[in-house]
Amino acid sequence: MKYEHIEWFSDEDDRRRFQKQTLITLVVIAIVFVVIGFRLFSLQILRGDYYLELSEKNRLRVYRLFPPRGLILDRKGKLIVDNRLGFDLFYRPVSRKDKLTDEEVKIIASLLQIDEATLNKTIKEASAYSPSKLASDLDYDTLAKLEEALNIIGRDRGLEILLTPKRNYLYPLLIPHFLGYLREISPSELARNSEVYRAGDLIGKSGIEQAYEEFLRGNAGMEWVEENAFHQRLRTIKVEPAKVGKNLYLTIDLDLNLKVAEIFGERSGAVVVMDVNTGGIIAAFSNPAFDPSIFSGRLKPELWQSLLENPARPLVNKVIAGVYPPGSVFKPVVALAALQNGVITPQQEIICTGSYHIGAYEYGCWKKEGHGIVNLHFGIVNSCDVYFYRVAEMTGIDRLSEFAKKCGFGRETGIKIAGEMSGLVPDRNWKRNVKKQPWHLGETLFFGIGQGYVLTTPLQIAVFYSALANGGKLLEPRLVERIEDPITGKVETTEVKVTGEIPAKKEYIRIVNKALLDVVEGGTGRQARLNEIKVAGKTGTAQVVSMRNNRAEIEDHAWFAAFAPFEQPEICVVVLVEHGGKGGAVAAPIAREIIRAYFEQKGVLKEKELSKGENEAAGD
Amino acid sequence: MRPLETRVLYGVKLYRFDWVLFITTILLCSIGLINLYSATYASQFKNYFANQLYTSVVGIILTFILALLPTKFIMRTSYLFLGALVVPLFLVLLIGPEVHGAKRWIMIGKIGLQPSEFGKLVLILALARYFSDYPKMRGYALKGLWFPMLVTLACAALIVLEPDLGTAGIYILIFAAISMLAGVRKKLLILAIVIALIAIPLAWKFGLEDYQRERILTLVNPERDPLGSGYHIRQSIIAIGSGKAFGKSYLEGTQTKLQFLPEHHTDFIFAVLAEEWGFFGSLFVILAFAYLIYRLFTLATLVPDRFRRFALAGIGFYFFFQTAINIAMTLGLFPVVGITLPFFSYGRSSLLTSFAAIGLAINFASKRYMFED
Repeated sequence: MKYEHIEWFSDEDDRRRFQKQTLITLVVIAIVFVVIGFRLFSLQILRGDYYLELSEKNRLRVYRLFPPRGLILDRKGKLIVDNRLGFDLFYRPVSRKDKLTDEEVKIIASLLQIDEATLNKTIKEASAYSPSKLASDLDYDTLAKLEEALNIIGRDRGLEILLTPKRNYLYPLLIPHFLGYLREISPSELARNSEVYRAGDLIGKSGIEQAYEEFLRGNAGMEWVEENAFHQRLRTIKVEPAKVGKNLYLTIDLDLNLKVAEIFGERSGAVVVMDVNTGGIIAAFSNPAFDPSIFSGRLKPELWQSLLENPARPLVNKVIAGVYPPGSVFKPVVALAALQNGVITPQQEIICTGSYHIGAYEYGCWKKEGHGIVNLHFGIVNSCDVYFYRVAEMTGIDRLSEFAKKCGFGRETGIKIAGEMSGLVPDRNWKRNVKKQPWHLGETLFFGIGQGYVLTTPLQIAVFYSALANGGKLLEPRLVERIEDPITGKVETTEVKVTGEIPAKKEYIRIVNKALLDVVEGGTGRQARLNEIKVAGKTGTAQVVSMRNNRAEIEDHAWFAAFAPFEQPEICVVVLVEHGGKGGAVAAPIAREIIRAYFEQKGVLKEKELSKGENEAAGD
Repeated sequence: MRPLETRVLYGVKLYRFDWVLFITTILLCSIGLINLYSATYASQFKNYFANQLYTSVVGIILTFILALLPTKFIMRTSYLFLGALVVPLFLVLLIGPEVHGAKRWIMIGKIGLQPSEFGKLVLILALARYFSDYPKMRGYALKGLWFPMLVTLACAALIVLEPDLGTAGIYILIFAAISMLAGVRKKLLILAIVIALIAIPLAWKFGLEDYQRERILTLVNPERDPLGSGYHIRQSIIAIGSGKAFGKSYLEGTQTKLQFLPEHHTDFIFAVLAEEWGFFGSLFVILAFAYLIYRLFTLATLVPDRFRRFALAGIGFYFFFQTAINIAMTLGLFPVVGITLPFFSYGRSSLLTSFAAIGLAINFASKRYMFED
């Protein structure tokens, strides 16, 4: 059946026929290959020199187009950080003639003031595909010398000076700790993010530059350009445009910040001004500071060493990473803990004789002659230590530390900047686990006046005082108010986040606030008083023992934490002067001037007036 | 029934592994890998070389598996496979991911495969069986050819939709070439030529996209569009020409390193070879390919039955069309179409198909007339 339509013929005939057909096929195939071979011969042998010349002349280059990084502006739109153009030296070897001789490397090394071995290593890593950056942000002097050297070495040797955008910090010493800086990307960061970055790219390494890297950086573009051997552009083949980074509008007020820096002067320490209703940081200041632009070029080792060794720690952001005993600014925490736990009533009185005795130990009040009869209000207004020793003893360390933790102490505030410290709220467990010792009652007393093991950052104090001012809400500190896409104009506002609440009745908070008002009106914080605006605040003098020149010295940190106006609080100001002395004498006037500057800017205060409290000595 | 069958059987060797074919393949594959390394080592995006190396290992295993399968099994399942081929060709159009405007891949996990590549072999096997099942001494007329022609055109049509004109063209060329080898009556041949003469201008006018017409026009005059399609050809020719007699030496090619060709690791891989190894290096590779093809056709004349014969010849045509069209394209002799150079171009499907073709060839060549050795 199957074979009905099959013609009958011998296999041998079939094979012979197939062989004949195959022979014809092979001849055709051979002809095609000969044509290909001849074409190859003609291109490579007959016209090889011509094409070699063309290949030397026409070469395609891919340039990365660096978009300008997003701008950083203050809350009113005033520029804080923008971009400028800088010159970088690149090496991109394309053919053998681009190989640099030892002598040429020596010339370049001496011009760039780097050692030959390092330079040689960088040069070896370069290829046509990924050029090496030999130097970045050349100054004009070096640039001029390099241009001259290039005339001798030759402009077609793969060395090229390219314009790239550089970060420009308009106020170099202003809040560098918060703005952060850029550095060349590290190999490990590159490995994690190889799709976005290339070796040699700059990346935000700290502060806002780091935290908001993905918004600020934009997207690099590509440009395919045909060039001749003299690096002259013949034509552009294709362009993938770069995408500009997004602009950040900070909660920071530039003018107020400048004013803060002026008021604070040369002292070392920190200042935070926070919006009590939104958590926005209006001013922040950590002194001494550093110029962030030193990091974008090649960092000189001596400079780095001097920054590291400076006892005033210019590299530390003291607002978020400086941990200090809070001293008396901590007393409202203790007072609220005692009130909330029902240990005391506001009216309850004790007698301060200038010292407090437990067993054989004596704990002194700052006022050696004693305060006499003291209740809560008087205790806060005059910062009576004995009163708080008693209150702390009655409340006990367990309830105190639990309450303090709920007020945001001992944990990070959540500000979106790397390197925040959590401080320390000691308790029995901590003492047992870390110090391997049981808790002593004396330590509870120290806790009551914000001394001993308790450690806080100025930012934590600001969050707590803001909460006192706003009725108890602990807010997450914000630095960025809104993020703007400069192309579409779309604006994204960052949200106000409540991280917790002071676990005390509103009534108790009001009682404490009233006392804080009287601290400034006529207590230890008189120097912070302004005539037209009611300020509530608390002084603090943190005792620290530090070793200097191999001998122990007692140097007090001066604190002042305040909010204003009392009736309808807007801002909270925290001032910390390291080794400054008494809080009332040193920190309070600074806080007053900052508050004054803020309200002057707002137009509430017209001109500088003399406050009643000025130049009066104050205790703590 | 077939009186000569017994006589033939007596002269047949039972199994013989063709090492010549295998070693030529390994040689080409090795040079291909070395060349691919040079073409892509600077890439930051993907480790092309390692991927290709892994695929080669899989390919060699595949070669052995196919070489050892019973020939009868391959022959019996050939129609089944052709029928089954339609499924992935349809699936590609429905669910395939779009890459550069074309849907050619089927994703199996993270691995993308091109059914149209493997389909080339499936078609060859099915055609071989057809010409073996229906032998004609005095050549085929339209009556004997319309069915395989229709099947081929149907497959090609599905591939045109992807769109992948180059691969669809290979299908038609393979069909035409095997048919010619089997013998076509003069009447049909004249008819085919007439139809082609009418169809070509029509296709030019209606069947091609602008960019496709442009590619053909630039072939005639490369200066026509120096930044568009002519640009690739021009740069490819400069790269090849600048290699001169002995090349710029390994890893030293300048044209191909500077990314002037977006496809320099796939379709234009030959330019990398020619630039770095020069005339003699690339001629050596061309001769190796020519020898491979010659060997396949020689083996086709040595095997004892029509299925083996046409399958081996079909595989010979497969390598010939791929190699000749790809190289001619990089040399500016043929319009730019997406056809890979076997064992050289980067690509999983293309490489596996080439290895599979060799495996099948070794299988079919294992049974030969004794007196021909």
